[in-house]
Amino acid sequence: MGHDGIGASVRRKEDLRFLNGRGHYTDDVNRPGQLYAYIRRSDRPHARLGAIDTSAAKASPGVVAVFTGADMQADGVGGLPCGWQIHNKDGSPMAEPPHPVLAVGKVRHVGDPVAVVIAHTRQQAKDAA
Amino acid sequence: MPQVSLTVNGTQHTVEVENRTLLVELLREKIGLTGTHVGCDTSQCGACVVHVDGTSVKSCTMLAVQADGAKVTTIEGLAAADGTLHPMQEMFREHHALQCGFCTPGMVMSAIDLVQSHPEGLTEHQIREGLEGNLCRCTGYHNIVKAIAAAWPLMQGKTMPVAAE
Repeated sequence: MGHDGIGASVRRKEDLRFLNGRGHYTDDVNRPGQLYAYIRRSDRPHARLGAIDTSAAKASPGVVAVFTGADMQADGVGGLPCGWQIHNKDGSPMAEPPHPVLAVGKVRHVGDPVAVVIAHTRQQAKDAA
Repeated sequence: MPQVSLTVNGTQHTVEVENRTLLVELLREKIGLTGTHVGCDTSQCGACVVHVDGTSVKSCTMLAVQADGAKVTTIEGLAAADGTLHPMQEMFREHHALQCGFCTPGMVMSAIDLVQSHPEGLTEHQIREGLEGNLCRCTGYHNIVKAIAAAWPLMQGKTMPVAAE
């Protein structure tokens, strides 16, 4: 403190809106007709996925769509890529197991995404999921 | 559906809610005050702290119906109408106690209650303990502690009787 120019403490321009609750984060966006997604996650640590019956969820009030891993595959939605691809000592590319956005065939941890429900309100999506 | 009447930042609101609607959902979705944040959904992070009848509350832990008849203050209600910041907001700004700003509303609301409930003064240790329900993932806590120690004399109108570093 007490410096001018180089070394001076400078107030940040963005702090005023953050301190007044006027920051605008993704979760704050609220547009007319906006839909909400709720992800149904695995409650098993490691299990094979049988057939997923989405009919009850699809019939639930306010629900617009329900997608599973099979739907993602059918639509050609790829997995989550590794952000940092490295090579082994012998120059071969590292092994990169698939990370489907929604589980296919098997869930591998509690919380693994199994299906996503899209509805008019967050509560409707949650109820259906 | 139940109706809730409450005062938020001095304005009276009567809103229809579900039984399960949380106070934070009422504030963000029904009243449109998005300054109060939801960081975790599990009552750990403190980004949703508001004042209910003057006391800090995690608004994701309180049902909207429980706030019926209450006076609620959120981060949007702290600054004066002419834009003058609350001393706590001013000290957060002065001491660079925020970076991304996501935890800031909850931090500021918790900090104000902490200072108000300790007219005898606050040690650095007490400030750190007082913030255990508020998580910050970017600035670290050091400047937040400094800001709160600096706001104490401004809010209490006297010098701090105990030394907070």
